[in-house]
Amino acid sequence: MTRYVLRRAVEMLATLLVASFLVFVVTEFSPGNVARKTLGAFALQEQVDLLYQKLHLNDPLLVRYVRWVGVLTGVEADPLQDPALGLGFKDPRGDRYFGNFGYSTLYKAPVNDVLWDRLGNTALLAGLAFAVIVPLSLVLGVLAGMRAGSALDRAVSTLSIIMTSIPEFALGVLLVAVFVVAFGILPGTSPLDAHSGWSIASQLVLPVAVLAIYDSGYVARMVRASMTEVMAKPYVRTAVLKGLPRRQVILRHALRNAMIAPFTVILLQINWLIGGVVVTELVFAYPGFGRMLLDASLFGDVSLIEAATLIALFVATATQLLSDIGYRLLDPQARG
Amino acid sequence: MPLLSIRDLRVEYRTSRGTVAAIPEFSLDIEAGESFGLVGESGCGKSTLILAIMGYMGRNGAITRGQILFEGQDLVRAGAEELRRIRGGRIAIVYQEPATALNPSMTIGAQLVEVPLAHGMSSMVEARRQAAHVLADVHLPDPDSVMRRYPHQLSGGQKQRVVIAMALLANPALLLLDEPTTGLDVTVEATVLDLLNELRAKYGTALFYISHNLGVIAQVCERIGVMYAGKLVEDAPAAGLFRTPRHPYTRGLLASLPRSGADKRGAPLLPIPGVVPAAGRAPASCGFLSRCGHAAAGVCDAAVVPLLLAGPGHLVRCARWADLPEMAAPSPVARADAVAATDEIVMEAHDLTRVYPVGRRQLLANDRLTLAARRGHVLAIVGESGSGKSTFAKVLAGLDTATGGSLSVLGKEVAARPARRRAAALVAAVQMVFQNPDGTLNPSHPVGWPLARALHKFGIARDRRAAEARVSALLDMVRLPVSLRHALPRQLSGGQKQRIAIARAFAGNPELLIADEPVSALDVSVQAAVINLLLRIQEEHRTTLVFISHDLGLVRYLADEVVVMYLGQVMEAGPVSALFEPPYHPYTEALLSAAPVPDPQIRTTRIRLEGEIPSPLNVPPGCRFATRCPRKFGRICDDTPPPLREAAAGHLIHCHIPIEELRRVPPVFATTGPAPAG
Amino acid sequence: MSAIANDPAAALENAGRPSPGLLRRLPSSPIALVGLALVLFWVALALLAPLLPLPLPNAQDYLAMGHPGSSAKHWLGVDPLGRDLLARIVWGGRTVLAVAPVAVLAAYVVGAAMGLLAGYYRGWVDVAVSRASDVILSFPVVVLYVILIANIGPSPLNIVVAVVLASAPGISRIVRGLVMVLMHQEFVAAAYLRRETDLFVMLVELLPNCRGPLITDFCLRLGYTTITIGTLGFLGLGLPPPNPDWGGMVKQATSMITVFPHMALYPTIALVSLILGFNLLADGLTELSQAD
Repeated sequence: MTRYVLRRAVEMLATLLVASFLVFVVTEFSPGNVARKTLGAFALQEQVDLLYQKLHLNDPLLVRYVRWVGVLTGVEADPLQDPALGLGFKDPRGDRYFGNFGYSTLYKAPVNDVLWDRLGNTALLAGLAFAVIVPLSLVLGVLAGMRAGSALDRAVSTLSIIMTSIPEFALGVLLVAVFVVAFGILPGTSPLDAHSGWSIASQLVLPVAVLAIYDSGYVARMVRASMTEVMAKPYVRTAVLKGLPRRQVILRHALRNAMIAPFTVILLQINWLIGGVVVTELVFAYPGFGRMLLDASLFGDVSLIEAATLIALFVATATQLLSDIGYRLLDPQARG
Repeated sequence: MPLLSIRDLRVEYRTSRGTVAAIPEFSLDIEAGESFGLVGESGCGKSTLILAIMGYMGRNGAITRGQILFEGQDLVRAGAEELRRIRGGRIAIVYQEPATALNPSMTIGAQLVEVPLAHGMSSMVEARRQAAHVLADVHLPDPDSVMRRYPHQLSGGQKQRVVIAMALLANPALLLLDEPTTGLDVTVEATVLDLLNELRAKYGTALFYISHNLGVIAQVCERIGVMYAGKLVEDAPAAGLFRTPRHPYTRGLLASLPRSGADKRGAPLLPIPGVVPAAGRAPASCGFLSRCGHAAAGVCDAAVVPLLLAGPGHLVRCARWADLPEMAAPSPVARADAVAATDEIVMEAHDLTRVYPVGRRQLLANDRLTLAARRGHVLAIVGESGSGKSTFAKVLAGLDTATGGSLSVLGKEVAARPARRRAAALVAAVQMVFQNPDGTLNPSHPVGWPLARALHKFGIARDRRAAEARVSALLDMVRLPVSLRHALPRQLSGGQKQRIAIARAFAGNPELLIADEPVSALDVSVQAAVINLLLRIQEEHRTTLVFISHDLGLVRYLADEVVVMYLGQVMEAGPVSALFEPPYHPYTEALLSAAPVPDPQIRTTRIRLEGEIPSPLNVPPGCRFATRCPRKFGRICDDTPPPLREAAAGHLIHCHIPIEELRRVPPVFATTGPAPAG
Repeated sequence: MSAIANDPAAALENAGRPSPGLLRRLPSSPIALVGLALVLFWVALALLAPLLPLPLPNAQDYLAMGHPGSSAKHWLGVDPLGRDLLARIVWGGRTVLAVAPVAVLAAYVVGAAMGLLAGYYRGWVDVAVSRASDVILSFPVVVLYVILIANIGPSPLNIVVAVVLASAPGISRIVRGLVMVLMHQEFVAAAYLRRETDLFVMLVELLPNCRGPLITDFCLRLGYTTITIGTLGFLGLGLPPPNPDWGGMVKQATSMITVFPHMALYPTIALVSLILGFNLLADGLTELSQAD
C-alpha cells in the first residue's frame, strides 16, 4: 500500500508539471504579452519593448517555463521585482522563496496576497455545497435504486435528469427570478459583505443551492445506477432467500457494495465543484477563486492563471489519489 | 401428505412483447427425505420453477394460478413474514454460480451466521459455533480460517461448499439445487456430488435437484422428472427412466448422448431435430409436437395431453406412449481401429513450451508438450481447466506463439510463427472452431459475411458470383438454408452459429481443424447434431481433427487417439481403445471415475481427487500430478519428474508407477446390468 | 461530464452487446420520445429560421425599448437593445445546433481513434494515450474551457477545438474499455485466422460493436456540450456579438433581471429545454439497451 501511494504521488507530480507547462503553452496564443499587461494599455511601445527585453521574454518557451518553475521553488528571484525595472513591485516575503507564484499583473500585487483569501471563500462555498450534495444524492439514489422501475424510482430519476439539465448560470437566473425578484426573500448578489443589509448566511443560500442542485442530480443518478445493479446481483437474491428481513438485505448486503462505485464519483465532485464555482461566483458576484481565475484569464495574467490552475490541478489530482486509496480500502477484492 | 406439493402452477412473465407463460401448468409432489431430479434443457422453465417455489420472481414475473403447498401451507398466498421464515429456514437453495451467490465484501463467517440469527437463534457465539460445525460437515479444512476469509480468497469448489453449508445451516426440510456443479471441473463436481449424497444421508433433507445433465442427476436422484417447454413430460424412478424411457423427448435426450462403449463407427448419435421453442411458444396440446418423430395428426394436436400412468410410479405425458416401440438397448459394437497407424503425420509438437511472464513469476501454460496427429485422424486432447489444452490450440492455430520447442504443421515449422507471419496457404490449411457460439460471430455483420470474407482473403473465389456460389455451397454443407446468409448472428440459435463457424473454418479447405470444446455450450439435443455434422465433413475431406474437450464420453465416442493433459504436460497418450482400459495413468483413472455416467446401471469405481488443480504459476517440481494423486507412493513423486513408460505400441504413460502395477488396477466402468463393459 | 464517461464499468455492461436496432426500438420508451420531441422541435425551428415571419435577429426596434415586454409585434418581447427575443432565440438555436454536433462528432473521431489504438495495441501506446488523457482529465472542465478560450479567442472553430480537447479523453476511455473486452471475443481470433490487418480488425470487427454504448454517450455529450456553449456565452467567451447566442443573451439581461426578468428567462428556458431533450433521449436509450 505504501509503495502504491508513493508511486501514485510521483505520477501526480508529473501530471502537475505537464499540465502547468500546457497552461504556459496555451497562454502563448494570448494577444499581447506580459510586458504589455504589466505596463498597461497606455504605456509607450518603447517602454514595452524595453521591459520585454529585460524580462527575456523572447527566450524559448521551455526556457521561460523552467525559469517560472525556478521562481516557484525559490531557486531564482522573481524578475518582475527587480528594482532596476522601476515597476515598484514589492513582495513583503522577499523575491526568492519557496511557493513564490510571482506578481499578479491584474491586481498589481503578489499572487500570494491575492490568492489565499479568495481560495478560502471558495472553500467555504464548495464545502457547504459538498455537505448538501453527499447526503441528498445518496438518499435520492438509494431510494430510487432500491426498487428499480417503481413510481418512486421514476420520480427521482426524472427529477435528477431535470436537475442535471439546467446549467449553473441558468439555474442562477431561475432562482434569482423566483427568490429575489418575485419573493424578495434572498439577496441577488453575495459579496460576503456583512454590511450589505443581508446576513452572510443568507448571501450563501443561493450560490450553494446552484452548485448543489446541478451536481446532486448527477451524483444521485450514479448512486441509483449502482444501487439498481447491486439489487439485481445474485448475492442479494441469496440474502433474501436466506430469510433475512428486507431492511437487513438493503443495509448489510446491498448498500456497502453499491457504495463502492459512487465513492469515486462523489470524491471527484470536488474537482467538478472547482469548475462550478467559476460560473456561480460570476452570477452572484461572489469574491472567490473561480471569478478570480476568470478575470485573470480574460486579462491574460499569466502568473495568476498558473497559480490558480496549479492549485486546481493539485486539488483534482489529490482527490483522485484519495479516491483510489479509498476504493482499495472499500473493496476487499482490490485489497487482494 | 407430501412435503412439497405443486398443483396446477402457472407462472407468467411480462415482457416488452406481451405476457409469456414460462410455466403453463405444472404439478409435482416431493416426499420428505426424497431426492428428486428434474432434467431439462435451457429455457424449459426449471430455474423459474425453483424461484417460484421461493416466491422470488422479480418485478415482471407472477404466479397466476395454482398452489405450492409446503408442509401443508400454501406458499403462493403466504405473507411476507411467513415467507421469510420459510426461506433459508425450511427451504434453502444452492445456486448455480457460487462465485456470484456470495457477497464479495463480507467475510464467509459474517454471511453464514446470518442464517441461524435470522431463524430464531439469538446468540452470536452459538451461531458462529454452528457455522463452523457445518463448514466441517462440508469437509472444508480449518473452518475458523475459512470464516475469516472473503469469497474471492476461496476456489470455486470451496465456494460451492460454503454455499451448501449456508443452505444446510438452519437444517431445512427441503434443499433446492440449481445446477450446483455447472462450471466446476469434473473432478471437483464428483466430490461435490459425493458430498450431497453424504449430507442427505446425514441430515435427511429432501433434495430437489435441477440440471441439464442426465449423468449428474443419475448420481444423486432416486426419482427423475423430465421437463420440456414448461411442462413435466415424464416422471419415473431413476432406474425405470433410464431402462424404459417412455416419452419421445426423454428417448431423444438419451439417444443423443454417446452411450458407454459406443463409437462413431458403430452407433451414430441420434440428434433431436429442431430447437427448443422459446418460452410460451410451444404448442398447447403437446409441447414436443413440432420436434417429435412419432406425432400423429388428430391424436397429438387435438387436446392437451395429460400425464398418463405408464407403469408403477411412472408417469408420461404422451398420447401415443403405448404405441411406441421399446427403445433398443445400444448394441455393443466391436471397436474397429479403422485408421491405420501408418498414415502421414500432419502435425507434430516436440517439447513445445509456452511460458507467460506474470510480474516476476512465470506461468507455465504448456510445458514440453510432445504429441502428434495423423492425416484424417481425430486427436482428442482432454484435461480440466488450467491444463493448457486451449493454449496449445492457440499456438497451433497461430493465435499465440510458443516460447520453446518445435511445432511442425504440414512440414513447416510454426512454433514461433503467428498466423500473420504464416503463408496464406498454411493459414487456410489450419483453421479453428471456437467454444462459445455467442462470441464466434461478429454481431455487427450478417452470418454470410465471414464466409465470403474468408473466401476472398484465401483467394478462393475470384469474383462476386463465384463467392456467392461458394458461400451457398458452404451453408449447404453445414445443412443450413442459404437464405440464412443475410441474417444477423443474434437471429440464430447456438447450434446454428456453431454450424456457421464450421462452415467458416472449411471455407479454405483446411487440412487440420482445431475444435476447442465446440459443443460444450450447446444443449444436449443440439450437441449430437453438431458432432455428427463435424465428423461427417471431417471424414469426407479426410481432415485431421484436433478435438479439445473435457467430456470423456464424447471423446471416447469420436476420438482415434487421445492425449490427457494436466498442468501443461502430457500425462498419458495413446489410441482411444487403450486409454479407456487399464493400465491407466492415475489422473486418467480419476477423470474416468469422476465422469458422470447417464446410466445408473453402470457403477464406476470411485477414486476421488483431493483439492483442486494447482496454479500454473506454482507447479509441483516433480510429477505435476503428485499433489493430488491418490496413488502417489513416495517422495520420488514430489521430487523427480516421472519417466515415460510405453504400455503398448503408441500408448505412453508418464508415471513413476511401473506399468505392471498400473495394469492390475480394476477397470473404472463395471456394469451391474446386462450391458457389457466398454 | 457525462454519466458514462465517468463510469466505464457501466459502459462495459453493454460491451459486445451492440444492441442493434436500438434506434428502431426508440418508440417503446416514452422518456426517449419526449427527449426526441424536444430536440426535433429545436432542430425544426433552426432549419426553418430563415423562412419564419420573424424580424431579423440583429434588427433594433427603438420604439419597443420603452415597453420591452411581450406585444403583438414581439411575442416574447425585446432585449435591452430592442432586438426581438423570439428571433434571437430561434437564430441562437441555429448556432448551438450547428456547433454542438460538429464539436461532439470531431471529439468522437479523435477519441475513438485514441481508444482503439490504446485498447488494441496496449503496451506503450496505451500508456502514452492514458497518461495524456489523465493530464487533460485532471483539469476541472470549466477551468480548462476558460483558460483555453480566453487565450485562443472565442470563435465557433475554437469552441470545437476546446470541446475535442476536453471530451476526447473520456470517449477514448470508453472505447478502450470496450475494445479490451471485445478483443477476447472469438470473432476477433477468427479474423486473425483470415490474416486480416490490424486496421481492418479495428475498424470493421471492433468499432461497429462499440456503437450501442456510444450512441447513448453521444446524446449525453450533446447535452453537455450545449451546456458548455451556453456557459461560455454567459462567461463572455461565447460567439462575438452581435450574433445571437443563448448564453450571451442571458448574460446581457442579468443586469436587468429585477426589472425585466423575461429577457433572461426566455433564453434560459430555451437552453434548458434543449439540454433536457438530449438528456432524456440518452436516458431512454440506456433504458432500452438494458431491457434486452
